[in-house]
Amino acid sequence: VLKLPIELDGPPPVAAHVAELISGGDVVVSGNQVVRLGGAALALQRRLLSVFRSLAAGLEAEERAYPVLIPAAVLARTDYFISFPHQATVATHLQEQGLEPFVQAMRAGGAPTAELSGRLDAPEQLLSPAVCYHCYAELSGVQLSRPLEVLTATGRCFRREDAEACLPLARQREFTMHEIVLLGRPERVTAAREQLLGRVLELARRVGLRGRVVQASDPFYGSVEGRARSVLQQAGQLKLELVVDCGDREIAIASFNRHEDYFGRAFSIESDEGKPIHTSCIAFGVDRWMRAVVAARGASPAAWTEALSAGSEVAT
Amino acid sequence: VDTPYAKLKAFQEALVQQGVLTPREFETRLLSHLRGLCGADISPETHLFSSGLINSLKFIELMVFVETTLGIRVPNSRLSAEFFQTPRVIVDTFCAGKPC
Repeated sequence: VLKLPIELDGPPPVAAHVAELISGGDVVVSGNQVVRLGGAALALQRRLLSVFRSLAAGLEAEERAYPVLIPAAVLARTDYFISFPHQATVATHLQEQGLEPFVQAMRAGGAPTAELSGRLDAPEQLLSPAVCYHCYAELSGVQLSRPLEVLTATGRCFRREDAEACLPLARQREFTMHEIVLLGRPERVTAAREQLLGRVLELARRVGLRGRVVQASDPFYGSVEGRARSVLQQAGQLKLELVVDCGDREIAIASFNRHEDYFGRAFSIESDEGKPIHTSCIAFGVDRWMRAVVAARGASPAAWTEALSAGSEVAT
Repeated sequence: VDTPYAKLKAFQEALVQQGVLTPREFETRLLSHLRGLCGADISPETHLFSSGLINSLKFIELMVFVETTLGIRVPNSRLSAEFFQTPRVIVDTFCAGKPC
């Protein structure tokens, strides 16, 4: 059991640096959504991803690129539709028989949103809510040959967020997540998670972030299962978050999640010892890291290039 | 429907029809339910989490039992392990001092 909170006492961050980055045109925003990254902002995102990959490389992780779409059947093997139905973003198509009337409605100047409604196929796929579900699906029914497997991937993820709650580089319906997923024997998964927690904290210290690691829980839907899982997460320190100060608000930029044997059982994945594997995932909210780094170090690439070079030493 | 949830709901409705459930009666039922759930002897003071007796599936069943038996929905302010440490704490938190 970790003694929490673990404090990070960086210098005071400056929210105006983030405003400067956005007004500089390298983060283009429309209706509270980020619609484009370019220039320094894109360079910062790439630099961060490279640091996160180095963190995983220290654990001999295998890198993956997964699709954005994920079958509903995969999520249904977990309690996703019971615990997070309110966050599901579904992907579907127009029904064959709806195509002709839809085209006619469009020709007549109809509103696409209204005309789409009622003419859609039953959705079989969703837009990924997180990266790690793809890892469990990949290893479904497999017995691992090593005591610990580590997979790492970057993905676009999607959640339902109220329009008024959205804030660029803080809370978005579509965002970039980098995950390191640990799979294997319980003691190996625990040790790797602790090692990564230490390294991420060291990275955050070298970058000069101010904040703390706290116990957290997922935003479960208000079902009895969701309420129970919220209690369980806190009881077992199953979810820790690195929350940092960005000057005008605090945001969680990384989470450290323990699932025990939940996904091992749900996807029938066995350890090299023949038992259901334990899993853990470390998730980085890449857009949020961008906000945190810029608030701490300024919008100028020179400032954060130096900070992240210091940070990447931790990782290698 | 023959699910544990439906059975408990029917049970709770029967209790409501019969009258009220006192904290003491609730504790008795809770202990009996927990003993069945965990296959172990459980006292009002048994620590449910630190003893390792309750895993996640069992805890979900426990939550269903508490909510359906008392006809309540555990409020967000009580969604913390400290309110589920022992059977006695559960009774004190969700049932004590008022007819259930």
